[in-house]
Amino acid sequence: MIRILPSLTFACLMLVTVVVEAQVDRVRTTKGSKAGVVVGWNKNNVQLETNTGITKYPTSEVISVIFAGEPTELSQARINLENQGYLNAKELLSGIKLGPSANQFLKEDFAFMKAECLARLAVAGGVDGKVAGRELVNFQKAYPDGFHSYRIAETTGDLLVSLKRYEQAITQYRKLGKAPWPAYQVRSLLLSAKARQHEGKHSNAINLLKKANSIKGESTSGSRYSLAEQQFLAKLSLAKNMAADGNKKEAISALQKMILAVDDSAKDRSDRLAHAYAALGYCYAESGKLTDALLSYLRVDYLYSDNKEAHAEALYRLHSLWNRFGEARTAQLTKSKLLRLYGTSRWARE
Amino acid sequence: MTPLAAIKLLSWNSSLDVLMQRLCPLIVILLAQSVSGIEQEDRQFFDKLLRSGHDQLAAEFLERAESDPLISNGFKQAARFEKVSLGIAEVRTTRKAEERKKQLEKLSKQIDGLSRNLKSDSERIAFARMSGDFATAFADEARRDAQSIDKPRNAVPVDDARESIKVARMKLSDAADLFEEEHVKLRGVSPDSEKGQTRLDLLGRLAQMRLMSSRMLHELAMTYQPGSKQYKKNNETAAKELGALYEKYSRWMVGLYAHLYEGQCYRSLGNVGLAAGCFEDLIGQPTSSDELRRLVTNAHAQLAALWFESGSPEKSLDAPRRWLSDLSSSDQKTPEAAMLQYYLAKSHIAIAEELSETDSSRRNSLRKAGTLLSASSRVPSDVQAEARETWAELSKLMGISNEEAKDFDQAYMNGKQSIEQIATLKASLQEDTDLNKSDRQQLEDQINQQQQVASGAFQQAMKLADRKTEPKQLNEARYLLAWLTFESGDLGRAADMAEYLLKKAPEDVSAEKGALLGLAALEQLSREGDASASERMKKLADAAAKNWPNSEIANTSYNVLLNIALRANDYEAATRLVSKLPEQKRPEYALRIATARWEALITDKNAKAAKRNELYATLKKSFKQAKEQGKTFPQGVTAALYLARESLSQGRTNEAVRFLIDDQFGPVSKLIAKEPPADAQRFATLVAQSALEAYVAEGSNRLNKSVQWLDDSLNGLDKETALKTRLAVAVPIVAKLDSKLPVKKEVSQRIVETVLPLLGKIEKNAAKKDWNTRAWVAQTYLKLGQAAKEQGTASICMQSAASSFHKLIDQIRLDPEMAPTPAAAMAVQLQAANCDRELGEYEKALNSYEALLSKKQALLPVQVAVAEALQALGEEQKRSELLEESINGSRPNASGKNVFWGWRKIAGVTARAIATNEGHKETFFNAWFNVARSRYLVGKFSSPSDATTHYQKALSTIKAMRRQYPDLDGKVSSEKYDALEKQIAKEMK
Repeated sequence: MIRILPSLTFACLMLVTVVVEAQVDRVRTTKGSKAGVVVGWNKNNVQLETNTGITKYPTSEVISVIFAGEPTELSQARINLENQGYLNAKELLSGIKLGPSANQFLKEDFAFMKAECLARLAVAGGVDGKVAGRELVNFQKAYPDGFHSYRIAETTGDLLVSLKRYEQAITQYRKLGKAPWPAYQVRSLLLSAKARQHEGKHSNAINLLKKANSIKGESTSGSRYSLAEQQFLAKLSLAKNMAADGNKKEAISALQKMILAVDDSAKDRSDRLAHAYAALGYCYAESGKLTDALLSYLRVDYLYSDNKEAHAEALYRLHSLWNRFGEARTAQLTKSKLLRLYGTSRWARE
Repeated sequence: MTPLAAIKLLSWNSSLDVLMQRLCPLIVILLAQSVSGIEQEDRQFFDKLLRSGHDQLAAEFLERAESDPLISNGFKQAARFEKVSLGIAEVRTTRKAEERKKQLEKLSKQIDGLSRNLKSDSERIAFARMSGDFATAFADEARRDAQSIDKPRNAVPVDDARESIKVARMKLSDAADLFEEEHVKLRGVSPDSEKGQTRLDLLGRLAQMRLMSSRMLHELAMTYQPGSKQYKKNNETAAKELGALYEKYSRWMVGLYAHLYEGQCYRSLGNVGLAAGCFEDLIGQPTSSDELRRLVTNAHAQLAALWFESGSPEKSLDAPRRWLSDLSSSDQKTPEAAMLQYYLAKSHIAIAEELSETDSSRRNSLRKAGTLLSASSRVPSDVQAEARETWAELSKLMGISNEEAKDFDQAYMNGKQSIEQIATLKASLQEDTDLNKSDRQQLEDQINQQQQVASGAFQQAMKLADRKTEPKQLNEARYLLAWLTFESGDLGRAADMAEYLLKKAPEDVSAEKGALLGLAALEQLSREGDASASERMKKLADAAAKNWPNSEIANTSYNVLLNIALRANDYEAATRLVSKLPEQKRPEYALRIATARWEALITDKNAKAAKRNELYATLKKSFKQAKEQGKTFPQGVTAALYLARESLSQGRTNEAVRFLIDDQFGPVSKLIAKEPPADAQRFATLVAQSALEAYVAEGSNRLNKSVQWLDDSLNGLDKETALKTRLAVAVPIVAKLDSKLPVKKEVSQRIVETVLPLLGKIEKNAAKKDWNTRAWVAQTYLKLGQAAKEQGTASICMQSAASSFHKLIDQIRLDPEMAPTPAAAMAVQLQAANCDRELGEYEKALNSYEALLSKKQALLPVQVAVAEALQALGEEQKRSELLEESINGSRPNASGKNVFWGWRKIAGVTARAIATNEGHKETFFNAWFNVARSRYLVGKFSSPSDATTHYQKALSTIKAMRRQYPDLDGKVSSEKYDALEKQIAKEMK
């Protein structure tokens, strides 16, 4: 009996903790998790009331909000969404019905997840773009100033790019540029430039990217997007556009310098090199140096495959390059890998 | 795996080739130690390229490494060694001796180069390892040379072989010195440290070099006459060296192999006792691993050879034979087992030869020898060639002394044995790429001989068959005899035998195989024009399909029957056949019939539209039904292609694309996968052509590789055929540009992108004097340039057009009769100049125009083009004198008259011409407009004080025209004048 007692006590304590946990909201930020009650939010911050008062968390730092008493499926769907498991997330969300008394923020979060899921699947070609578009428009109308405003603007822009409606996409990306953080402003210009690049308007894209690189500010620690990272991506994109615009040598040389400048000990070294080698592959291909392009993309595949976006692009381009080299079998294997790993990415649809 | 384990494992291999294969990955692993992060990534990347089988790409990566700023300096240094290592690996996979020797020579130079530039200890170690690998490859080649000196084919002169061995020993010794030197430097380091492991690796390699060097001495001895002084001396020295190595490394694999080779030396010296001692030592080793079993098998083989050679073949049949029979089936396929089988066979033969010809054990022994030789000759080994030869001789011996077999069983066994030998000889013929012409002939002769032996044996078996004969064996003998008859070319007789077999034993599996053989024979006879073959084939197929429904033979029979019906255009019979088929087969056959009917229709010039519609509908329906069945077959792909082509011709592009990329039968999908029937050249070309047409019309990105597919499909064809095909593809596409239909901008863009590469290839392949093709290419470029106006490709098209026209002009200069008429030549010159003008090459264009006009001035379109060019150049370069020339003309000829008329004279000439030809009105009004415009431009480029004068002149011209022709030749022209007037007024303010 004496031996059992401590266990029972521990079990009771656990139970109490679980109950307390279940009754509070949690704000997951890049710096950690905070418990309390979400009492308000807008596109720039999430307000969490705790014993010490109300704290405002910049939305640039908030990864997600978990609500007290939310259905388990919703929590799972959120995790899937964060990990780009859109099909699973969609499936989980389809089984959830929130009652009329549900928390208003929870309802907004739920609506966001549904819209985001559909849109991302539509970008990858798995869902009708128009249906997804309607959902996004409805969300924006219903929640014009919510926690998800910037993200939904970016997603809407991405969907519009996939539908080749570039002007409208840029209008959406501009919303992101209105955020008070320089990193978001750079991202807005970067995404707009990518839209222009898709459109074939490389000189317009170049202007936007030059503007993005001229933005000054300090990288806020804990922000989802860092200024340095966004400007690095902008520089890569600039090189790609320069290559597409005819300045291939300069673009390749600029990228080589960027790669050499990547700090060996940087936390995001692998991500940076993944994007940079993918960009280098693109510029080599533009210059007709197909073997060099192949080697650059293979580097991403072999060494930096942790970065999903760059890896998916590399696999897509490798598929086409292997075919051009007459390696049909290798091309087929690469395509299978792309579909297997990134079946819901836009590269799988290309 | 620790380096020690690696070394121990490596040392077990007697073949130098295998040794090399194991060494290379080890080098990569060891080189990867103690390097920086970036360098590590470069290595990882290189290693991954190799492991993924991209050897060529890995080589290219190394080539680029030197000049690539992104590659770490450490890897750049290592790349020099890696290049050589890749080269050594290539030597291993090269089959031709001549090529291998060239590769080794090249590698030797590279290694020499590297030896002069070693900066650090790690580089010296890498260099030592590489030298060791190279020495091993070199020694392997020398060994091959030595073994070929007494062979009838690809023999190497004995002196050359000896020299090779001496050089190999020097290289092995040099490598050993390097290992020794580096290993000494590492003395005293902890065995568990990184350096300690390197030291151990170097030690292992040092032992390997010594072992191989001593073994090469034995190889050298074997190039001399047995018993000669050199033979004896070299073998004795080798045995002594190997013995010392065994003493030193007795716990390592290297030591055990040294003992094996030591025994070989004693065997060669005829010292049976010492040799047997060595081999028996090894036979007693534990055999817990594959490597150990191989060593022991090798020792048994050596022992069997020793007993055979020393005149005691019966001893071989003791321990060595038991060892062989205890080996697993995979262990029996190793080179060591093949060697053991060979020497056991030799022992059996030797024993048989001692017996009298009437002794039944004699034949039994020979048969056992045959079985062993058959197995041995299938595995590549040092004795493979000997095994084949011995087997051939043995068969001859058994065949020639083919005393009448006593019973069916004996005759049947003789026949089967010959059949087995035929199969092995045929495999040798296909697999051995080193065979020269006479070797091939020899093998073919042996095959023919064995076929006769086998036929004789089976005929004998037929005669000897009685009631006791097993029916299954009898039918098999009948089938094999039919097969041999088929192989000998007597197709009619083979078919007779197959028909007989089916009649006699319809239940037997041999009858089924016979029926297939019979169908093949009759098919061949039918093709050769045998009138009765078709009917016989029909009967045989019918009977076979009934006898073995739902079997492979049934499928073949249905195919045969269907082909017969379709060949005779007997669609009713074909349809009747479908109704007899099992349900699941019907859609496939129905589609084949529909496809055949469609094929017949499209080749019939008199086919009516209604019939075409009916058959198209049938084809489409059958295609749909076959798709529902879910099975893919080549004729379905053909049907999809026909459907796509018809859809294209009807303008239903989307539908055509659907057929082309159909997931089951899509010809494009098959083309990409290189699957039948798209792996056939003509079919592939037609698919690519259809994809190209669909792409141009519809623009689905899925077909954007169509030009590449076309190129691939034409690869390997002669120039003329490729040219004709490309023209046939390009002409209808270009024709779209001529049609009056409004062609969408993106469609025209796509046409340009598609046709450009085609034209390039057509021009490249066209003969220099092929005026029609070359002129068409140039014209088409021009047309594309005009169609692509305002798009990126326009200037490329124009440049290509200009280049093509100028090439034609150059050709005309060399051969004035090349152009069909003088007018055609002038037209080409004019178009070349026009292209130059479009490209902004005004001076070049003007010179070309002058050349044209100096022959004949009154070429109004040329004069207009000249005035336009002068005006454009003047405007571009802000040169008033050129603008004046555009009005008043320039470049006086010998008689003082201007060759270039200018707008004013053009206006004058056309004013007179209008009286007889209203068509000149537009040029007339345009000329005066341009007189005014050039004056306005002169004003613009003049000083403010002079400008007004020029503007006034321009306005006077406009007013004068208005006065004389109030409507200025219609609205368009009038608006042009108005706009210019307003512009001038604006400038004057």
